[in-house]
This record gives sequence, structure tokens and C-alpha cells, in this order.
Amino acid sequence: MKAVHHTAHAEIREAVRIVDLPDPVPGPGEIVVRMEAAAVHLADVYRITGRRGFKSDNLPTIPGFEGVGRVAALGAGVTQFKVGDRVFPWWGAGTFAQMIRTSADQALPAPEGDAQQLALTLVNGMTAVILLEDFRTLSPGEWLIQNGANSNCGRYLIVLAKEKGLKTCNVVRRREVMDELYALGADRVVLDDESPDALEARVKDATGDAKIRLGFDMVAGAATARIARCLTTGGLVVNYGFISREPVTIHFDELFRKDVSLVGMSTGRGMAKRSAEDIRRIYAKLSAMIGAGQLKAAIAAAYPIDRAVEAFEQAYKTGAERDGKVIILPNG
Amino acid sequence: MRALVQVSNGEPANALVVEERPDPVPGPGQIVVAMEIAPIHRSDLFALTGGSKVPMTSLPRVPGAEGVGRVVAVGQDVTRFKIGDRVWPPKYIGLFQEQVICTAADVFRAPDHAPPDQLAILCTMGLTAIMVLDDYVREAPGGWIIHNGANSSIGMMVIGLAHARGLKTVNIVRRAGFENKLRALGGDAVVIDDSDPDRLATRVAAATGGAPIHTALDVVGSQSGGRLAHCLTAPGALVLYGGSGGSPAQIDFLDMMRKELTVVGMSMSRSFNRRTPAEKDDVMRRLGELAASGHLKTDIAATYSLDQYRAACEHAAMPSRDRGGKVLFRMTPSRKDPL
Repeated sequence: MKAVHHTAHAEIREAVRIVDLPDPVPGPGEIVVRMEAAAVHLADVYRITGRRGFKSDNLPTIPGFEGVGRVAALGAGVTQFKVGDRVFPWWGAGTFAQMIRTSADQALPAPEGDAQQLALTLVNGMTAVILLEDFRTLSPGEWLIQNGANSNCGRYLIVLAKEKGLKTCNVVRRREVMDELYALGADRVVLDDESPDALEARVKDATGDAKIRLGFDMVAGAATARIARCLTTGGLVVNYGFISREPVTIHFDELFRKDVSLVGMSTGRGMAKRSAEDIRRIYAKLSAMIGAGQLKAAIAAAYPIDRAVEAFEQAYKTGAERDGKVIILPNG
Repeated sequence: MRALVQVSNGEPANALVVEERPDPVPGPGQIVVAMEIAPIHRSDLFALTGGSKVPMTSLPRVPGAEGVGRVVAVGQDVTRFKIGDRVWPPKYIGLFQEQVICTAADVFRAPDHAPPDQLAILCTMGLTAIMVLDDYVREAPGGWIIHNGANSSIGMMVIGLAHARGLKTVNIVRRAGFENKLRALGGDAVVIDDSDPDRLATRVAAATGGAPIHTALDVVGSQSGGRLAHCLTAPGALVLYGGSGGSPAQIDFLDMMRKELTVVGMSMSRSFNRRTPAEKDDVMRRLGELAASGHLKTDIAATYSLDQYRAACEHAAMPSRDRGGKVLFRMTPSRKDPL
């Protein structure tokens, strides 16, 4: 079987190669999953290139945080799955391979539906749930604001916030994505041209001068400060990404005069605070919504495993240059 | 009585004059305070040029943000004070004059047994520092906190206040030469920040024996606070209580995420005004006691009379490393230390 091998922290083309490995054999309590689709996240590319803070400890390794596939073989003692069941291997199973061996206890049942969409359930879905549940309780009808609204997590947030009765003010950098976000259920979509004054005025106008108490920032850099600027006194900005690759920035005016605060967020820590049953319940709900098309990612491209390098190179880009999520289809 | 009056915007030599004015007479609910000592802050100098961050009346005006004095006249219905009491008059009412009229309800009692030059600077920096610790530091005695600007006046107050409550401090400075001074104030570790976050974290860990630090106090802003955050253990809090760096706070995304970082800003007026009158009295009383016990001790560079305002303002405008501490006006001779 073919797999992506990550052999060194280097430029993408030097860091990975496609290798032929023997098909894995499940040990006791394990299953072998034939992967249908695996999501490529920016963090996968950061690990491959060895960005500070993202390096893999043990090389060579098969990268890939998440994906979806079907059980191809059962190890001794595995009763919860049968061959042919669709499953999500647990986080970090090394999903950029045609076949993977993984713990049956940790794997989650996956519904029928579009495998490319389902491949995005674990990371972005859980991040969106934690952002909505863990930071500030808003009342139905209240507004929240987010930048990177066209990101996959941003898109999930639009739908999941609406389900809670919340209104979303969605900040994007490109006019051409606005209609898509309205189609998902966005209440307002506003353009950010990097002017804090202009954004604040547009948000006030779009929301009827609503007092917005919660903002999500996945861009970092000066964009964090622009979200803070749009919040009311005592508001909270939750930073959960840094696609600008710049430090998170906040101005004194917001901190001192408006008593706005800023917090960091980690999906892993949010999960660690939850029981295994809660996590299974959240994933059952998320995967059902994704399988049914209620949560829908924009897919930029899907690559066969032989073209994984191209997949990583595209995933490293942002905005119009990437235009959605990148998927690897290990078995074509 | 004499008052230093700003008659125009510009250099102190041209903007200021000393005027003889009638002694004020207190109305109901008012007292008259004879000023002992008042510091010249950078913000006072900035206000002379016409720019100001503080509420400012139109010209002519008497500058002077804070200070300490004694009650010399008491109006009708005032029971809170009697003649001779040492007090802190309200801030920003024009304290560079020999006598000032105040609303008694906004005045706080200051201790007789503390040096007045130390008391005179407690209503801005001292109050900020004590409320940062009261409101944002949750560590039990023996726990560590980290702060930057440790050799600034307010940073040194943080050291003294933290030491008084049994906290250990990692004191971040930008150059060598402060170790003995900051340790004498009760500081524990003194660490130099050369702008490399990883090196700073390594030095801090070496200085504390790897003790976890969950709270960072940032008086600088810019990337300096971000480097403090890099030294924290999750869950971490970065509390901005000043912005001498001038630019926005910048924090690495990985520190935001891994340190479970919360970034908050402390506003002195917000923190003070959410206190009840009794709590306000209490915080001012504790400040006075800490000045009396020597836990709060700021370097005093020189004391000038109002007549010497040109020299005083010139001295106060010097860069902090050359100035030698705070520059103050002395309006009335101190009882202990007559001029």
C-alpha cells in the first residue's frame, strides 16, 4: 500500500515522499482502515515543514490528523466494528496512507455521505463546538462576530451558531465569498479592507449597532485588534488561529478603555475538559450534520496520494489561492 | 497663597507663571488642603505643551495631578476630616499650589508617620500597582509572578507590594545593573530581556528553578508582554497595566494557545470606581501603611519650590536613566525636614 512518508523537516518537496509499505495487520484491539478521504490542514503542512512549535518528534512518520475510511480488517477481540463499517480513526492516526492500523476503541463510527466532507469532522467541527460552548454564553438573538468566516471552521460556526439562535456577523476579505456565506445562513457578511474604522462602521451598520460581546479570530496580526474594535465594553475575543502568520495584536484602547479581553484557545484542551461520552456525542452530532450536508465545507481540490506534495503546497496557501479545503483521496 | 499657573501652551519656562492668589475658603462639604509635596509626572509636562491624556480645563489652569497635604480649613457638614489631618486630595484638580479646595468626600486620609515625598506619588502609580495585585493576582504566598519594567518607578512598587504579600517576583529588565537594587526592594529573580523569547524563558526557568508562573504583569506593551507570556505555564494571564512601549500588545499565537492565555487590561479608574467607599478607604489606607513600612519606596531625585519651576520641569523632563528618580514640588516645609 502507498503512504506519505515524512522524513525530514524541510521544504514540502524535500520533506515528504510517497512510499510503498506492506499492508498493515491489525493487532489485538485494532482495526485496519482503508482510507477514503483525508483532510489536509495548515497544521499538517506546518508539521511537515517543521515550523516552530509544530515539529514532529519521531521521523520518519506518516502524517495526517484526520480522515474517514472503511474497516478492512479486524484484530482479535474487536467487536464494536465489522468489516465495511465506515469509521473516523482517532486524531493523529496518520491518515495520509491507503491503509492504516488504529485502535478500535478510539475510532468513531462515521455515517454515510460525502467522504470528502466527512474527512473534516474531527478538527474543524470540534473547534467550532468548543468555541461556541466554552467561552461566553450568549442569549438567543445575540450577535457574535468572526473573521476568517470563509474558513471551514468559520462556515461550521455560521451554521452551529444559527442552530443556537445566535446571529453571526461574518468578516471576510473577498467580496466573492459573501453570497456563499449568506447561503449557509450567515446573518451579515462584511468586508474587511484592513481599515479598523471602516470595519467598525460596517459592523455597526450591518448589525444595527448591536452590542457584540463575543468575537472569534482565526487570522491574528492586526485582524485580532480589528475584531476587538467591533466589540462592546467587556467583550471577549477568542483567538484560535493565525493564518496571517503574525503575532496576535490588541490595542490599549480596547483593553483599558473598553475592558475587552483576549483569550487563546486549544481544541485539544477543550476536549481534555470533556468526558469521552461527551466527545462521542458531539462527534455523532457533527458527523450526522456533515453526512446530511447541513455542515458543508468548500473543497478546493482533492488529490490522489501520488500527488500529495501538490496537495500540501496548495494547503499552505491562503485566501483565493487556496479557495477551500484540500483533500487527499488515498485510494483514488 | 501662591499657585503655579499655566497661562499658555508651550515650554515650561514660557507656559508657567507663579501667581499670588487669595486663600480659598471652603463651602459646605469642602475642605482646604495645604499642599506639602506634589510630583511632576511626564503627563504634567505633556499637558503643558497642550496635549493631554487627562481631563483638562481651559487656560489658565493650575497643573499638578497628585500629591499630599494637610487640612487647613474645614467647611460646614464635613465630619470626615479635621484641621491638621494629612490627606490625599483628589487627582487632577490642580495641585501645584499652596492651598487647594476639595470636595471632602473625594479626599483620603494619609498617614502622619510615612515620608510625605513617598506618599505624594501613591495616588497614580501606587494605586495602580496595588490594584493590579488586588484584582488580578491570585497567587498564594510563595507563588511566583513575572513583570516587566521592573526598574521603572511603578515596577519597583510592584516588587515592594508583591514582596509584602509573600509573592516571589521575576523582575524583567532590559539591561544589567539593577540586580542589587531590585533585590533590596524584595525582588527575587532579576532577569535581562534581550528581545529573544526563547532565551528569556530559559533564563527565567533557570532563575526560578523551573517554578510555574501563571501571572505576568505588563507595563510596557508591544512585544515585551508577549515575551512574558512565553515564560508562563498554562493557564496563564497577561495583565497589561501600562503602555510605555507605545505600540499594541503582540503575542505569539502558540503562546495564546498553549498557555491558555487570557490577556486583560487594567484601568485604574475602572478598578477604583468599582470599589465601595469603604473599599476605597481601605486600599488607600493600605498604601499609606506600605509607604510607612518602607515596602513602597521610590527614588526621589530632587525637590523644588514652586518658584524653581523652570529647573524643576527641566529636571523632570530628563530621560529616566539620567533623572535619578521622581522630581517633586515642595509647597510647605515638612515638619521633620524643614527647608
